[in-house]
Amino acid sequence: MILDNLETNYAGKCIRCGLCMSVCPVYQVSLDESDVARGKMALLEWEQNHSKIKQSKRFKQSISRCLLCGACAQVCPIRLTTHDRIQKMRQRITSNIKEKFVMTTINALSQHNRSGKIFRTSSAILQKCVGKRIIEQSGLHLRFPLNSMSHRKYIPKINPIPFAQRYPLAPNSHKKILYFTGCGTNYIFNQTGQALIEILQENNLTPYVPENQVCCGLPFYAAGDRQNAEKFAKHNIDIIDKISPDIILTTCASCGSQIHQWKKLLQKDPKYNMRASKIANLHKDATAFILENVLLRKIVSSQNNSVLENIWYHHPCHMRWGETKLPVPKKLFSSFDQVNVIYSNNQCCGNGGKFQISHFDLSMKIFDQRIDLFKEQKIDRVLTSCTGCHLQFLEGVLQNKMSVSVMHPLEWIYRMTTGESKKK
Amino acid sequence: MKKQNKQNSLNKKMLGQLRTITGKVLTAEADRQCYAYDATNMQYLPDAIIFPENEKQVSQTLKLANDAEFPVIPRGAGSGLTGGALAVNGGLVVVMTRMNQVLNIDMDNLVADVQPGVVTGIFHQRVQKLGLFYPPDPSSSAYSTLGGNVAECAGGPSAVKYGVTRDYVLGLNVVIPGGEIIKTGVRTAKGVVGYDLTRLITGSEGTLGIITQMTLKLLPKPKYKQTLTLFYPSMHCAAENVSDIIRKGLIPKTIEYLDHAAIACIPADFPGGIPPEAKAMLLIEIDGIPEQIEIECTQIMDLANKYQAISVRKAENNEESNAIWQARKAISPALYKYAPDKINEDIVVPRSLIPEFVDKVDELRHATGLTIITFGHAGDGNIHFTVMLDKNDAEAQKKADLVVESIFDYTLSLGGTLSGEHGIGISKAAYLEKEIDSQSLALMRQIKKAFDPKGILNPGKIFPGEIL
Repeated sequence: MILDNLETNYAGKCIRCGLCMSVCPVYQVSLDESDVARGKMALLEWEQNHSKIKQSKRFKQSISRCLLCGACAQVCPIRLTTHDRIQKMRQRITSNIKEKFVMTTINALSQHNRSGKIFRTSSAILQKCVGKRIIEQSGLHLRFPLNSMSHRKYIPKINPIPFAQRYPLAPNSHKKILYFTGCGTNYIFNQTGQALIEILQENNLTPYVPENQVCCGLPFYAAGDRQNAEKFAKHNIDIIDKISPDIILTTCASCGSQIHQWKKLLQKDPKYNMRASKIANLHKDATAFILENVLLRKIVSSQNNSVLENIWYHHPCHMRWGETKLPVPKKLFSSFDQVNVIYSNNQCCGNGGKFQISHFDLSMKIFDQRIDLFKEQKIDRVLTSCTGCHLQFLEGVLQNKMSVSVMHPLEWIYRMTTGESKKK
Repeated sequence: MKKQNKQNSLNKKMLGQLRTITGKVLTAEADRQCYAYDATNMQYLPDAIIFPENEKQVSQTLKLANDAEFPVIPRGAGSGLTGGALAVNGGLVVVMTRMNQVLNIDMDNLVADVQPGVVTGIFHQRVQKLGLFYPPDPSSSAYSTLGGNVAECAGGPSAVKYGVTRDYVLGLNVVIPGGEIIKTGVRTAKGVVGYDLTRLITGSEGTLGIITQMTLKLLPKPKYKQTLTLFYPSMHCAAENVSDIIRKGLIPKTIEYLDHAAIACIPADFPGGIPPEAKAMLLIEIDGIPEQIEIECTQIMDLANKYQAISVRKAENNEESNAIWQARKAISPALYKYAPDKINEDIVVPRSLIPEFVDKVDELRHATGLTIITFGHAGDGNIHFTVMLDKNDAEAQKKADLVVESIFDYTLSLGGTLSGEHGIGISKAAYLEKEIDSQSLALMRQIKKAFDPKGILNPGKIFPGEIL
């Protein structure tokens, strides 16, 4: 990415070998060359000589049909990062109204000021009043964040009060831990953050949870809205630096990866760039932190579980490669005899953030590729540590009319150790 | 290549008729750009693209094309290395990837009925789950299709013991120009009724018909396998060692070799590491029952010492041997680290003559100063002879052309052939007459004409200089 200006014909480097077809989740369900990396590269190369075409409907559609999962870059023999190029192209093409609406909604949701609060509160109240059924079937559901214009079945309950504002903790540990909640925990999945904090506190570690932290910026970055992505990154950097933590924990793989993107994003601003690099070095995935710091052994000793459980562990794309690459956390399950774990570590769930909103049917088709194995293995529970994947599994499970619970690995381990494991 | 006679391009009326056949016809330039290439990285824009979903649609399409006389180019995954899927004359690209069902796996008779769009690697997994084995394993198997493999007669590393795609094709459903559907071959182990059209169409590069269904032969899956990695101080030692292995009556599933330039493309985490002084490497896989594997392993390792092997290592487990094969499959594309362009030939020589061939390559390398890499299937004599260069460098290009020409001549003088598994397509059409005598070539042209009198199917491929 640094070489951006020097590389005049990046797309032309693609040798069209086709290896990317073997991993691209979108291509594998659509079987359309314009969806796979080498097709995208052919389009980008064409655009270099015909710059007008980037505003054509067909071109924009193709550029929007990418999960940015990065699988292609992993197998590419010449290490082209097609997803970076797609993201850059998105910056250059104007979005349509539908996409703008979605971005505005996410933006509003993640504001920590008064307007954001009003937005969240009214969303929550409206959801309660109108009820799920009406929301699904009427045009009213357009008003709901993360639920725009589709046949979506899962409707997240929005916390009127963000998680971070409910945990104004007074840290007492010798190590300064900062918990970057991400929007997932902050606005929807309270329980994930709660589990992390309880586990830490049992071990005499209390994290800082800065109440004015904002969205990591990934949804904006992925959509090509660099301006907002930078704005959010800077805001978070200011807040983190004020606390100057020793460790920064995340419970969402996507937020984690975005924290590592900040330095690239702020390349042109040397001061922020340096601060962002420092922050990236402090980042650690919360589950990995817990597993490495033997905190688990203490709480596992009180495990209370007797029914065999079939667990589907889904490794998020943002943990499969890049700077935030982590192995599948097998240690998480090593103390439990009564669980049968299927590790799903080579296939994207199909969420891709905005991708699921713009291409809902395609996204669900990608998800459904795992359904046969899912049913065959009689899965009871899905564990995954990324908000996007989490939402995707909740949706996919509902679409397929299955009774399966979805949660963050830390919530599961917390429940297992406190005897609440049967609850779904 | 002479300028080809321009055939009709698709007009509005024809596109309308195509739409009534398959529903969707892609004509936007963005889509045409995405079907203009294959793994040769050459570019020819087609006029339109369709995705038939059944045999009837293919038949109706070919009838229309024959009547209206527009070119039809069958395409699988577009992973071919000689341009077989390129629309060199424009026309209609017929993408077969959506006919991707495994229709039937007959465990009693060890045959499978499959549609052409099934991805080879997915088929491997399907039959493996049932304890069966489909040996053809081209490097592209993770994304290439069975239909494309049959049309090009794909090979792969296991050919030394198990043969190539044609050895596993029992019967075919093929739509020929005009729209007639023919059924060739048998579903049985034997069959000698009439001419063997199945073998004729296998490897015909989409010039005779479009395959819509295939009956493939399966084998029981060998229970165990063992992978060996051997390093040598010179290519000559490795090549002599291969000849001796075969002389001793040992037939491993695979004997692959890599020269020093190919070894340099192997990732650093390669199981067991790579001795720095290694100039050549053999990858050997033996399969069968454990006792036999043990005996053959010992024999091969003893032989290796005789040929000054620097190190000999057994893979310790499945993960290791997977990592080894992964590294081998990644070599061909990894060669781009040497230069932006690649000339890739897949000649075959009688395997006992590999040492001679290797000497010839050394001679050419020294004489020209070009980056020449060889690796490939030592067990069956199929060598991937590769020149890496920058095609903008006119002098290098000229040298490379001469090198290729002399390699071809030398290969033929050794009793070899110009292509083991990639086919002729457009890349090698100009050299066809080096190997095929004029009488045979004339006969081949007549065969082409019998199937495709108007020359609408994959024009410009295989035959030098003209279309029929």
